[in-house]
Amino acid sequence: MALTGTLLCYILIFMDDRFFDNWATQVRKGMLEFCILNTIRGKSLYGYDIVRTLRDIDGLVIGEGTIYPILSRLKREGLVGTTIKESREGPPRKYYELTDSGQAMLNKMIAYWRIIKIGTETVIKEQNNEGT
Amino acid sequence: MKELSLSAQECIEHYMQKVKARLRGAKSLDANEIQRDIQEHIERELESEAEPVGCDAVTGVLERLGAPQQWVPDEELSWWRKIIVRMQSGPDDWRLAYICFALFAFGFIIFPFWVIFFLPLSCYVARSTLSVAGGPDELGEQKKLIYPPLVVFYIIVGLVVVLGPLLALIGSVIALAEESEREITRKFFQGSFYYYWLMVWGVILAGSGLWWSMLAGFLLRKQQLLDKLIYPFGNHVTRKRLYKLTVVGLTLLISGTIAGLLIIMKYAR
Repeated sequence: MALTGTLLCYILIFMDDRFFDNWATQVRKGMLEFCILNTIRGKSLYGYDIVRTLRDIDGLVIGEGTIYPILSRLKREGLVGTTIKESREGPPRKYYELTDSGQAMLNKMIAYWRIIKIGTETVIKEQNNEGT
Repeated sequence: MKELSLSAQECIEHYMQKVKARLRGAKSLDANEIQRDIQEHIERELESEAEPVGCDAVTGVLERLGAPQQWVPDEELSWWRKIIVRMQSGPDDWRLAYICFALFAFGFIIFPFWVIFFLPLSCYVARSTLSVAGGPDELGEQKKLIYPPLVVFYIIVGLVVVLGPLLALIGSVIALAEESEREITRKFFQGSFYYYWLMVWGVILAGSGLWWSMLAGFLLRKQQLLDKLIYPFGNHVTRKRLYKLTVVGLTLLISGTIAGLLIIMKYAR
């Protein structure tokens, strides 16, 4: 009986972890794009500098290598443009900047983020108040 | 660029090989750009390290970069590649290896279809497994299931390439020679079939020699193509072996030509 209970407990913990992992991956995926676009808003940045900025945010970047493919995809979708600039420290470097459509998209995303953030925090606060 | 220790170079090379393997299935991505991004990132991360940079420092950078697979997101892969990638999640995932060997063995049982359908199919699965894994070193014991169809397929194709044109040449020359046997022997060889056929075999010998030396010469120039075609056994067809084939081919060509000419000069009227 105790063995079955322990086993059930492990299964539930495993399922819990899996659910959380999937959820966190989805949140991170969307947030990473949002943060990358915000990082290069109003300036052009070298790929490595974008990575350095974002890796300091807890829980956002699991593998630093995930940022470069997202940058490439944003570039293919026309939200981000690149310019090659000479570097004193080595070979020419690729700098990323927002395109006009990228800027428009980011404005929409920020507006949406604000709405959803306020809504989510209200729900969490309400639940916390009810709990106490 | 920082000076790297040998083991550090190997670490990077190993990582890059895995990225390249993953990139093979994603034509919409710029492989050179991705490789450049990785190189630049590693270089920047190692800027503060003392030279020569050791394997530990490089491993740390690569771990922070994340798994090589993440450089090519799943949505960038073609549908067939997605299936294969899902079935080969790592060295402990034997599913593709089992499928590969099952296709090979099943085809062998129903023999007539084996060569034309199941063998190429199992060979294709084997190559895909190698490609997804990032090379034979990543497969460990799975090689025992993956190599048999590859070896058999390469041997059959190799025999067809090396001997096929030769058999076709022998067949057509003999057919032609038989057709004009009486007329030519009567006209030029005083009715002697013996010298006539010696000359015919001289032509066949020279033709075989010409084909083998041409083939060896081509493969010597295109060794990279050969490596790709018979991956991962390209290293078994060394330049030394190809030179040997060239020498054999040239010897046959010269001896066949000389023999044919001597017979014509000595016995033909």
